Amino acid sequence: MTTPGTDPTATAKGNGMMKWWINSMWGFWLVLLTFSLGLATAIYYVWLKGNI
Amino acid sequence: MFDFMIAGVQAPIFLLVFVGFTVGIVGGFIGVGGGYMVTPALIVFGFPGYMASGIDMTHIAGKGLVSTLRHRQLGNIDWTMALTMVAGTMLGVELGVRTLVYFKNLGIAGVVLLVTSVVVMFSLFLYTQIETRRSHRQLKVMRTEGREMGRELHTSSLPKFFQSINLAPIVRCRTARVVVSMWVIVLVGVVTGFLAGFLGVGGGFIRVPALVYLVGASTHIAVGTDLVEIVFSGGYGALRHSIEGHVDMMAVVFMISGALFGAQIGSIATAYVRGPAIRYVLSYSLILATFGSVMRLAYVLTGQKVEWLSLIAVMLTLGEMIFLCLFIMSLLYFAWRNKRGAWVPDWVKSLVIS
Amino acid sequence: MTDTVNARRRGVVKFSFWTVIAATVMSLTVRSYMSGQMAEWFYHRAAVSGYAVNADMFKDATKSKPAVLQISTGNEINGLVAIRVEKGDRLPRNTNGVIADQTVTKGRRAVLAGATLQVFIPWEIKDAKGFKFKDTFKHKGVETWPWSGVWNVIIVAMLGLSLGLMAEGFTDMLGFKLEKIQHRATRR
Repeated sequence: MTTPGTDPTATAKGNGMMKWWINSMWGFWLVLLTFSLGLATAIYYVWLKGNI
Repeated sequence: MFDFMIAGVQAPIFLLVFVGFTVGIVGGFIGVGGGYMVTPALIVFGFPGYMASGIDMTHIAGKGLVSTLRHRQLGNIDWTMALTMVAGTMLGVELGVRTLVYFKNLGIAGVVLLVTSVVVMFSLFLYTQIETRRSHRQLKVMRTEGREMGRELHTSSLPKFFQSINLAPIVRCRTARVVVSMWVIVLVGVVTGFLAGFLGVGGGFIRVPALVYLVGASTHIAVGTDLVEIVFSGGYGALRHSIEGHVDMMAVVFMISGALFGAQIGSIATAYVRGPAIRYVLSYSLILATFGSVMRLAYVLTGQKVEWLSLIAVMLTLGEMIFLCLFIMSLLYFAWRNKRGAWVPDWVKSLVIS
Repeated sequence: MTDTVNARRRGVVKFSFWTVIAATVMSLTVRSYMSGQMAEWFYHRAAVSGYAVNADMFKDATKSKPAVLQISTGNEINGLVAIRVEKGDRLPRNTNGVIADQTVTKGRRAVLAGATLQVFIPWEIKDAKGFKFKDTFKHKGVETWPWSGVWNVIIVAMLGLSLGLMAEGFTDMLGFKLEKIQHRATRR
């Protein structure tokens, strides 16, 4: 029985909106790539900007 | 920061160890030396271009040996295939280097090189990605139907054609379970060696797909066998570069220190995945390297005036190493979870061994 | 159980032995580098006739304030000094580049002024394969000792071998079993 304001499917593993990036191969790829490019940019600006 | 007295630069030790570690993981997993990632990274760190090539080649020889030992333990090396290919690879590399010198004397080496690397890498990416997705779809269907899945599945019909070439002597590659004309293997060595010598790379990203799609070896065998070639070509490259004065040994030592750990993770990870997983990572590596080359080519063709193109090329080079490393470690993590019966995404289940 | 214990013991021996080898090779390499011996192998002979210099000494020179190097003789470069060398000569200690006669004759980056060599442009930005780099006098006109190539390959091979076997010993020591992969293709 579902009480008002509670949706059982919202709490089930793998079904939440936040999991789109891990359930889809392309979503996972995109998130990892964005994170990696961000980290690369940070490394560049912290350590390497002075180099030619 | 460390003062490299031979290279004449100061560079952070942490970054060299980090690059060695990430490229070690990638190299151990997909069987590449990683030169197309490491050389631009070393240039960005401040090393002169010719030293970046020399340091990279020398470190590849050492790192390749670390990975080869682990792959030997996993049974991923077909020694017959490896030793048959070596002479062809060396000959191909020498021809490639001479062709490069010819274009250099004409004054157009830079553009020709970049265009060639873009064309080769993009073509390999397209073929590998399309074929791997087809294999992955079939594996998903088989898993749904509850059928037994082996370690490897590929859907290319090219190996059948090359294996049907009846030119003596015929070699039996027992570990790879392939019976093929020796000349096919030598030809693969010559062509991949030529491209490697011309583009100034180890050649793994060309040789692994060639062994899979032309000779018909499984991806794991292609990775392990290719690493043996990389040890030889890296060792020869290290000798030549050292004589030319292109090597700073401390930079090599720092990178191998990182590669020690990375190569172990990458090589051992192959035991937990199926062939298509390795081919996916290889194809991602190719497309990201292609974008980096396109940016550099665009920067050269616009007369080196559009600075952000050069910046994007640098971001892609560093970002590519980190991305591939994270993807491989994710696959390893998912394989571990899958084995324990924990939740993993659907697309992973047919790529990892349970 | 006994097999596992024996395998772990063998792993401990393997790991210890190869760790000692790896540590020895690494420390000998580092010592050889830091003592300047590898630098001497690197900056071994003059590949061209010209003036042996230490390019780090005048990297801040400009056209308005050129570096003035005293031309002298000797076996060592200390400070703003240039030592005349002919092609094939052993290079003095602390040399890291040779300013070729051709460069001096052209006069764009360096000129002779009596008993001194004046350097106006110690470095300039150049381009290769889409990457910018600093072109200095460092590494120019020098010839490396050919046998250093053989040594480098031996060092790298020993490092790769010892570190790889050390890692194998480590996993054996922990009892981490790695079995040979069954290369079975999937029947479609």
